[in-house]
Amino acid sequence: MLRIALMTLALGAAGALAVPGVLAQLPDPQSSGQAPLDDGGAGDAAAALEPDLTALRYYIEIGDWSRVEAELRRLREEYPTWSPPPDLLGGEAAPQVNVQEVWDLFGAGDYAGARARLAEIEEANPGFSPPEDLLRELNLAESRQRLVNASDLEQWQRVLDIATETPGLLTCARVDNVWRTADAYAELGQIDSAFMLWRTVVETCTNIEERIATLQKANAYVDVEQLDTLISLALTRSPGAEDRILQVRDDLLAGRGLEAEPVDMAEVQGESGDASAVTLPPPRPITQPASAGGGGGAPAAPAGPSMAERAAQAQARADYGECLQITQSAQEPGARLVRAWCLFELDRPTEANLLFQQVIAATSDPGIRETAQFGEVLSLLRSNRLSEAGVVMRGVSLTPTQQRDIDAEILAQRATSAYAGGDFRETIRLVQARRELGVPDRRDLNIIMAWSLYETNQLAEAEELFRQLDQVFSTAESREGINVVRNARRAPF
Amino acid sequence: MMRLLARTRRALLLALLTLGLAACIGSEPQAPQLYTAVQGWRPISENETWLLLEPSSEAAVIARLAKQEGPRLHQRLVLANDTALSGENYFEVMLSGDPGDSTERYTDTNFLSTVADALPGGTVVNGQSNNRYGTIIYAIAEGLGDARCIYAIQRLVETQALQLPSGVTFGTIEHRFCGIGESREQLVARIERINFNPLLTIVSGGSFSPAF
Repeated sequence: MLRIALMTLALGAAGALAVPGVLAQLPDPQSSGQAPLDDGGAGDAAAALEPDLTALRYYIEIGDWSRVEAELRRLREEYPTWSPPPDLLGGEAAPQVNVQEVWDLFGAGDYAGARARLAEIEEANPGFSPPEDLLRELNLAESRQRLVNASDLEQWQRVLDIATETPGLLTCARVDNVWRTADAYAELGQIDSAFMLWRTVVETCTNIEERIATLQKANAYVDVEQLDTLISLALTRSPGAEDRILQVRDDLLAGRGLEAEPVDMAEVQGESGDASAVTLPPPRPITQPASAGGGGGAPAAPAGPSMAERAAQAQARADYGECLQITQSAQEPGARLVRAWCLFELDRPTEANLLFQQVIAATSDPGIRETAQFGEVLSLLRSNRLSEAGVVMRGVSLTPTQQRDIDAEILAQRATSAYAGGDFRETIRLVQARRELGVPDRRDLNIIMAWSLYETNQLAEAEELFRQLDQVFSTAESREGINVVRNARRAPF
Repeated sequence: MMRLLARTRRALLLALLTLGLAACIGSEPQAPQLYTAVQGWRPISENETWLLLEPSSEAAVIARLAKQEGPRLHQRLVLANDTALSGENYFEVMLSGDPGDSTERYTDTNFLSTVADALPGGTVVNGQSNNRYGTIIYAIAEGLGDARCIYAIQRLVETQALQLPSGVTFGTIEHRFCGIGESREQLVARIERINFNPLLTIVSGGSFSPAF
């Protein structure tokens, strides 16, 4: 071990490694950071000479390791091709050092503790060199921590600096780092660089959930053309998941007030796996305002830029604040209906409910009335005014989709209620029942699901769910969940 | 320690999740299997309300709701919101009849965590004030265009100045409000000037009288 340490010490003096470009790091995390060493153009004459190792041997003999290091550096500079001979230590066995404790601290996320313990071990074992894999993982983890902190604090340039100076940080295995780095580029207005990162993830990383999450994250910054470039790449790289990706495209375009033209699935499937991307038909503007909850729909707006139409466009862009400003003085039921949905989306269900009721009272249009009734039920449910919702539902005719959305809302309320009451098995059952309805997942429900799995001692499942949540969007909550569950899994009882 | 922190956080999560949860379902219309044993809010009359607000605030009340969760009674007054920001304006009172109920004891850390969830962003300024019922801690969010928001919490414990209803061990008043053109003082005044008058006692076994 000591011999290896000396070799490492000598070789390490060769100089800093070239920092690869951010993009070049992504596909192959293992190779990054291991650039070939250059001999610095040393002359043959110098290589032919044998250095005098007397001083070096003496320093080793007396255990003066700082002088050993200095002498090695001097020799290396003077004789660039020289390597320490194997018998330098006289065959002495290297001391055995157990670093498991450091790994344990590392595994618990206590990187500072791991560093401190490592320093103690090094001090107690002169000549000991920490395992390269431990140092590499520790460096990566610390860098990731710094990157996450900088990202959380919106210190975008700092995020880019950390990502650039740390080889191995941006990989498919650590895709959250890539997303944060892309966000930093985007927030700094460098959309093209951000786009290249998202594109590289979609092209390179094979996890379908991460690929879809990348599309959703990129959607906040890219234009429609760039979005379709990413989606077409995702389609060609995700055989068997074309329907899901096209559904994501539909949702993202709807959020921009656009409607996707039908895509020829045979063409898509025919091109899957091919390097070329699928050509997607350009989207067209939506003619029906999107609805909250995905089930109902506001009525078609009259021709021209009416208040309802402008509000519906803001709603479709998920700009609910603007939607409220547009409809501040709305009197016409259509515009008020859109306003009610925007209130609902802004987590103001009580106001939304009142407005839905007013629209129902004011309109003679059956389409508007039915949509408003659906909104009335949904907003009561969102407010947990369940008995009132039950009464209103008796007189309402709901489409199957609306009924599904309402069922999903009820199950969500029941799950949170069960969790609040400490009934964790029931929480799990209800969240699973909601999933079976085929409605989109909700992060808040997944969080209580993960804690319920933890509470019912389903630790592996809990850790997996927290990990999935953390990969999609890493927050203090998801990271804490991972740490708590991991600690519990390591606990002896 | 980490588990303790996690439990504290989850207690806060619960508090947030249950802010809108409520009373019993009386009917089972179209999907009865979904409606069983669900608690939820139910509307109450003005006469049943424990909090009396200043006239201008009373005029802004758009819903009066109540629910019971085990030994805890909640009342919630939802107020109109003239901003375009997310989240409802409300006062919420919680009274507990459980002597062992000690959750939601606010500290600097978990108050800030709650604030982060309750306010819609902006620059947050913390403060402290008083009314006749004791100390109010609050946070005000600014830099939200022409809007400004407050999130305030007051813990109700029996003191010389405050006599809680018989059997009530502790309570909280929580207030969240976003308004346009309101000064910090105006925002704080809304909770400073409340009148708290819960007409109930705990008769036995944690049940409240008059019942909801």
